[in-house]
Amino acid sequence: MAVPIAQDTGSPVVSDEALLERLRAGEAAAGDALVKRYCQPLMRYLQRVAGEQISEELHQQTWLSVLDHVEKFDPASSGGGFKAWLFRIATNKANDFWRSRGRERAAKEGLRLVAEEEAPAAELRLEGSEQADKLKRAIQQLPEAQRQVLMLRYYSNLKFIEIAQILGCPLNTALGRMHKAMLKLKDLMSE
Amino acid sequence: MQSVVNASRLAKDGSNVIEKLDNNEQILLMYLAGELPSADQADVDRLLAVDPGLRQSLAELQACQTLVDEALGNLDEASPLPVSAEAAARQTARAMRQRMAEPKVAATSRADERSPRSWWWLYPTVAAASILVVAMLWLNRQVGPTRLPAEQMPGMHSDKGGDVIATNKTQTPSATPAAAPWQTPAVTVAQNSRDADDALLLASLNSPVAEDEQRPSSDDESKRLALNDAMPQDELSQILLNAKGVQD
Repeated sequence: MAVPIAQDTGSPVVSDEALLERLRAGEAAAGDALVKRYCQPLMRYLQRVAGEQISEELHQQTWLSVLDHVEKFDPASSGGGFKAWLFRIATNKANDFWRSRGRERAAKEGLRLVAEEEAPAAELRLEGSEQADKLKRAIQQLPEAQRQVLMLRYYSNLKFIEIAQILGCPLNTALGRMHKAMLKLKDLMSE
Repeated sequence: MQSVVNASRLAKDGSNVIEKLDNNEQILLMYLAGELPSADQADVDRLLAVDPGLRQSLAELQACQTLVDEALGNLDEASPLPVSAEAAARQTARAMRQRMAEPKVAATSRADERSPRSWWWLYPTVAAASILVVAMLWLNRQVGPTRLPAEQMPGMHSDKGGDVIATNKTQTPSATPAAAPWQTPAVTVAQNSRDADDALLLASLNSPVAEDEQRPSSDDESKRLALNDAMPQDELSQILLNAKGVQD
């Protein structure tokens, strides 16, 4: 599975936990390094689960939340380390967003899908790929729980057991959602 | 196709990850990800070697996973982020530095705003005070107006129950307001302070000396009662005052 997590190359890699410790001590540069390290996968994850318009804001909220709760993070007790903790916070932010926008969502979603079908957005036309367009719609049609597992797996590359912990569900539930999401995507793309 | 779950249970190799899973697809997903314990991984390898159906399932799952991975990769290449990752990282890093630069006091006050810790005692205290006030009002209504003991009210005596009754026998039930349900009928003569004042005045007019100290003879009393019954109250009072003046 492709793992697009950006890693600092060149100089010896400093672990997330070491950077977090330095951030806890007040070293802002350590925070910059962590943000840079996870910016691409985290932004992509938020883009896929929450939408393009809000992904940047949620990304910033996620990191500010990391900063606010940095004292509470315990690498020993949190399975999956800092990365799992970071994606857990991002998932919570996305869930909060959808919860607050829950009522508007259904109506807007319906309108947006109709508009896209009638007149493809300029962005989609620029993307050019019909396959990408189809996949985008297929992802949007996935149930929220299945989409979260799939995107967490793809963008964070966390283990299934860690994903289950993030989502607060048993391992078999997370695996079942993953399997269904993959089959559904395959079917939707082949239509 | 064999069930990997059952095969694993038969193996009883001590690992219990497979036993937590519902079906072969979930096990194969874990197998493909390399996240099964080594003993379970070896079990699946052994089953795959002898079960073509299971091998077919694994191949389909692998193809599906590859398809989805490639599709998501292509989608990311085709659709750029709303802002570049570098720009987003710079903005976020700036916001974090600003947050870190905020004085600790501000951060503390933010936390205080979120949790109303310093006011936790207010609500129970107000509630308790409200209950107390309501209870006192209710009790006050139950007991009724304060009754003075008979010894403190000249011209009155106490019956067996200790209730105060005016000695003025001209007082008729119609002269007093109707008794409330919680009030004892025997004490309606002196049921409020205004009635008590009236009773005191009439008692002092009727009996210059306190009844407890000196009771009139039965003849005198019967005459006075006869007068009381025959005359209106104002005339009776006038006559008594005049008689008192002659005596003096």
